[in-house]
Amino acid sequence: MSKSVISTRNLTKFYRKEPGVLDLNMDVLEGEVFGYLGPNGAGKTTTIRLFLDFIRPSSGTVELFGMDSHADGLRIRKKIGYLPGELSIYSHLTGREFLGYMASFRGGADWEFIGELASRLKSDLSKRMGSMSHGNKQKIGLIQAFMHKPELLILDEPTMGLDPLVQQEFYKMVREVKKEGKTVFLSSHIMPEVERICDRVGIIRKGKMVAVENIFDLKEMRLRHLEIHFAEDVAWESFEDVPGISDVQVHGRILECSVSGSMDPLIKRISNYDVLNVVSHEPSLEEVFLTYYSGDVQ
Amino acid sequence: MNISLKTLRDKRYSLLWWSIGVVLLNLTVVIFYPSVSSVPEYNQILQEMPPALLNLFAGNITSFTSPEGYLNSQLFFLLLPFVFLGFNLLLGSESIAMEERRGTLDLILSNPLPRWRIVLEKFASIMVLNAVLGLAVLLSLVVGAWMVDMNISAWNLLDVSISLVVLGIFFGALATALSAATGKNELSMGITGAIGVAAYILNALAPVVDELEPYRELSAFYYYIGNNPIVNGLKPWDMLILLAVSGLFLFVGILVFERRDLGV
Repeated sequence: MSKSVISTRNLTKFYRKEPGVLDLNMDVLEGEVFGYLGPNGAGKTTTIRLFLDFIRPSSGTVELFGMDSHADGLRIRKKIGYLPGELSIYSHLTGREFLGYMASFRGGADWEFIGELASRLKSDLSKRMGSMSHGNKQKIGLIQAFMHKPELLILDEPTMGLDPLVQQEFYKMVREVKKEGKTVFLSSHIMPEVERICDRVGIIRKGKMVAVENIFDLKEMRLRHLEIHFAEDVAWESFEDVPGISDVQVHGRILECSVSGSMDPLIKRISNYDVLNVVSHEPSLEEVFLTYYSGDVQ
Repeated sequence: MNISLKTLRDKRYSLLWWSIGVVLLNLTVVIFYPSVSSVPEYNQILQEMPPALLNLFAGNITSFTSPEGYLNSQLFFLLLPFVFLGFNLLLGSESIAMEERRGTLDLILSNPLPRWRIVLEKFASIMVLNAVLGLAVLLSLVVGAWMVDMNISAWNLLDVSISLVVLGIFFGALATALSAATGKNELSMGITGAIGVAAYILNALAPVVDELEPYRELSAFYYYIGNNPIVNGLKPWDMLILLAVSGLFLFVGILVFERRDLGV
């Protein structure tokens, strides 16, 4: 059993009377990539700002590396690399000056490593940050988070504004730090991203943790949309009683349906027919998300 | 690079313009001194003016034509302290609040850096900026006095310039403390400005308005110029009191800053 790097107990934060997050319980384990998934305004950034002691809990506790987020804030933040959700910058500084400034708070910059990160992310450090596009600022922000090789990376919407090639490089960087045994906590509202790089995902909605799942289980749970092409016309009645099947529609030789859980009953049933083609529409995590959401509403 | 050095670097052009402004103001005023000192009748104005009005705009002076009286009434009583009030009100108010509003405070504090250190580093840079602006005041007056043969010693000018810098630091500390405690730039400017103007009026009118007299020692301006440092030199106690209260402002500001939530 690996130990918790982030651990919250009944963590609650009220803004005036609005709950920002409510009774949050989560454990992020050492060495995992934890995705924090939720729509905008769900409380992701609030949670992260509680981790970093920018804001204080109304009740409940946050521990990082087993230490209290406020009392041991300095020792905790020594081990953290942080990328804010809306990266703010000093527009008059160049990328290099900005990184040098940030590194000065941690005993100086490792320019060799920074250069390496910059060339991987294709970032031009000599430009003034005020003239950079959003994506290019984001790259500087990522370099800033990775440059001191922290034990825990806390990244708020890290791929926002990055072009696809750079995104791939970022995913590689995340896998590399994971291989080194470091922990990554990243928030996102982009499902395929979380699917791709995270080991576990916590789903937050309206400040409440709706579920914490393994990515694998999450994929298992979701609906699959199938389109099956037969050699001859089929009847709707032949399929509607297959376990786990729903939304059955038949258009001549084509059967469309959704399957949850095991595919086995459906495969067994269609084996009685002459099957030409099976098309599976890769559904997004979004749909799993929606099942969680609608489940919560009921 | 640390926060103080970066702030100084960020403010270098601003400081340059303020210094140019102060030098031009001082030279303009000093250049007219010969034409005033050669007309002793000017001093009669002092007798004819209503004392409240005189006190409000030129201080409790006895001579308009002496170098000290001229510089006090034209520069050190009203104009220069208000220049320093404005300079510090802007610098102090934005010190924490602007970083917070832009979101850069989050970035700085994601490092292993305590909040109080940001406040103190910002304040240290404000002290340096005041000292440089004070130097601009002193040098322009020394040079100006030499140009027009004004009979005043550089030491007297040094004393009053130091007093001016300390007054500036006082308002800088107040604005910085408010900025840290509230995170609101405009609020800090408003309160610091209001307190500055009130303190000025209190000190200026106390000698002629009996009701105000007992409260004069509440005014920062009293410690700045009440002892008339251009004539009598610096009174260390006055300076210490201003600096001690500045420290108290910062202490309270930091205390609140350490406890509050940062805004986004």
